Amino acid sequence: MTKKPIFRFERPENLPLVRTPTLSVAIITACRDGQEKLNLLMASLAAQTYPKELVSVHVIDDGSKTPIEIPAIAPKKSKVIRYKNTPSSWGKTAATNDVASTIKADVFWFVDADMVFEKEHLAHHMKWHHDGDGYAVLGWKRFVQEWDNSPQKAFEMINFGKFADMHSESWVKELWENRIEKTADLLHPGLDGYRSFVGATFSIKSTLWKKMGGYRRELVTGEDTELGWRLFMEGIRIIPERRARSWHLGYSTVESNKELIDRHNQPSLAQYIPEMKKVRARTSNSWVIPTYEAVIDVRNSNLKQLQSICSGLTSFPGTQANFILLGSWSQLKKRYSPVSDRYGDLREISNWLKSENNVTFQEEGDENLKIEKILSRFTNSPIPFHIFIDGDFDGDFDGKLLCDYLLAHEYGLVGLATKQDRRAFAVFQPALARSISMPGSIYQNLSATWGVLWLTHESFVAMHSGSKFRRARAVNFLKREGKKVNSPQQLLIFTKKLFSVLLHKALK
Amino acid sequence: MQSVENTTLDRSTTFSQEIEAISRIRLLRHNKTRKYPAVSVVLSTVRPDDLTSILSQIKLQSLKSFELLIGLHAIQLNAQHKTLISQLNKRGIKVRVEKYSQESTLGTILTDLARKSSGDFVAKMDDDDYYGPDHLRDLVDAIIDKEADVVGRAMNYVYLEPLELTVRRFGVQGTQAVELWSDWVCGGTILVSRAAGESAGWFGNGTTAVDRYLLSHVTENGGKIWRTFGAGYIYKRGFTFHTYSTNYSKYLKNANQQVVGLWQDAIFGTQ
Repeated sequence: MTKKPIFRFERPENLPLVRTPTLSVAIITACRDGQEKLNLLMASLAAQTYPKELVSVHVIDDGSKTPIEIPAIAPKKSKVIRYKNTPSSWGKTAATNDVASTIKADVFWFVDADMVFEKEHLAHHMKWHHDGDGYAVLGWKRFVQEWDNSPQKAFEMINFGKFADMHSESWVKELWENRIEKTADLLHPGLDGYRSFVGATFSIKSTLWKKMGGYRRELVTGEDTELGWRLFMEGIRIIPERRARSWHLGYSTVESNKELIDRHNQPSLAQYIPEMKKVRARTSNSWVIPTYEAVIDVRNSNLKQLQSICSGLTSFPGTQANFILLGSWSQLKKRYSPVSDRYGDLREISNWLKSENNVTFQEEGDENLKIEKILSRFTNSPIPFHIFIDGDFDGDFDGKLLCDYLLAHEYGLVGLATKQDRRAFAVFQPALARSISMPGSIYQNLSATWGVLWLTHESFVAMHSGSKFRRARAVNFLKREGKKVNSPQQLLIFTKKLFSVLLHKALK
Repeated sequence: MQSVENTTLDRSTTFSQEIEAISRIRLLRHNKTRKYPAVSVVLSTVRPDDLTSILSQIKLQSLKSFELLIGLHAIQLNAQHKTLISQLNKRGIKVRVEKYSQESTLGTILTDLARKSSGDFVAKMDDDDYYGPDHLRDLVDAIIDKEADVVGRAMNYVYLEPLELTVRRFGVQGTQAVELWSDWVCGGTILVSRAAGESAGWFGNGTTAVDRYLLSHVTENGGKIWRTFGAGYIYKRGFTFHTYSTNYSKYLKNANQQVVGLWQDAIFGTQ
């Protein structure tokens, strides 16, 4: 019997711990000084219930002033890797990537060096990896301000089941926990669920780490958030494991230097994460990863139709698109005269757009385009939405609305068919990535993993017009934005926003 | 005893409920049929690939023996067709091939084939649709049981080739209604008695609306048309030329279900 494909982000409920685990795990942590906290971390790792013969610890010393040492209380297979710093190799991201590429283990568990773990923490991560591939597991943590520096005492408390008693005062990150709560533990992550992905304690299969290419090397901070975005876009199920408990020693650097960190992280992360719309909306710059990739069949359309599709898709501030135009471009090389040009429309498109960086021209013959063939034209990359549309689509095409619908209803593909037999559809990247990774037809896989829905364009338009729909949308907007008002400054922002939306509508 | 037709089948009927209800009807009808009459199938084709597909489906028909008349509309048989025809002959299907020029119309081809056929009943099949293995046998059982002049199927399953999607449409109204006397059935599923077909002038001589020609003349002559369930037959809407649109999107409206690819079930011979 073939295994049933995984549906969306669903996962087994109440997965028990594995009785006889078989997977090996490499625990990887990078530090730059901070031996005292590391000693506590190592003590808590030594107390883990997961079979010791399957565990190895790799402490990366990223240029500490006093070289990092393995403390007395530590798992048996622990070693320090001194990461030789050069102008092109320094910092957590580069160090972790370079060292991880030399480690052989089934699973990588990445931890920060200022964490202390409950004894079943690792076992709770590993139960998921024994269940299957395609998981990224996040540990659960609380923040503490003060702690006892004795590794011996920490080891004993954890070992004797007194982990919870180690601190009487601790804090949670409310924003983080609210998001987990709101998304049903990332079962319904929406588009911003990736933000829950933090590097303090997460584990993934080493094959997946390699497939992802590890962290994005260009990032010095926020590399975990960006990895979270790519894992999400890969269709990986990210599991916040509430039973994998831990203490985080002190506030994170993000909390205590928010403004400086934001100034640094926002634009560098927004390069790769299109969902950071608000950051992107501040300028009209180009960013590395666009919001949309649109494959447009222009074989029977003209420049005006194409322009209308393109401008419609990027009309909202902070959105950007790559366009792949399908046409019989090779025909343009043949001898022609401007006054009797069979390919006049195609040539006009080419002449206007051939130097645009976000436009590529792909050859297509005369044949009918099958869905599978169109799907194979999409780039399997962390662009959240892929769109196909016939260039001569009859009626107004609202790509953003289609993608909103796709996301809200959690389908893998939502398509529209018109009275004139024209087609348009939107595909959700996590669904596409998983469907591509499976054997067989991408289209069939999309249907099995995320679901496919076709509607008439007529009914789609009807569903999104009329006073009832407009009123519901306005109420939602006011509710959402109104919630944020908690100071005169926020009220000003709210008023400005309201005004700009009204202006946008008025000018439309 | 409650008549089988009174089984409630409406919009809320699920696929498995539909199949269950249909199985009862089929079993009752099949057990009533003592002896199968001589049946002829008429088939006009312009596309070699479609001919291959339909011959493969005809080979799997559970009706034991029948006659098949193929009208080649300005095409030639290829090696694959010939192999399939010899396989059909071996399993008790007599095949007759007639050639027609480009100028012939669909109506004249089908009418000519029907006239040349010898069966007590004539079935029309379309080369681009999909037929389950019991298609012909179900129609014959129904026409005997209902003592009808024509039997054909409701349109419950439509395959939209440009979307690679099968839609299931089930309800008590329109072309989806099943098991009732009507003046309309799917053209690709017509089974007509020789007498009724002859007096209707078979399929006329037009290029289109050949099915309507037969059905309306049968009705005008006072004949009775029974529309049976659609499961076991999938009507196909293919790609069309760019300059010509058929609005296949209308089949998405009010569809009960849609699945990617051909609907997978034994009744369609797809499983």
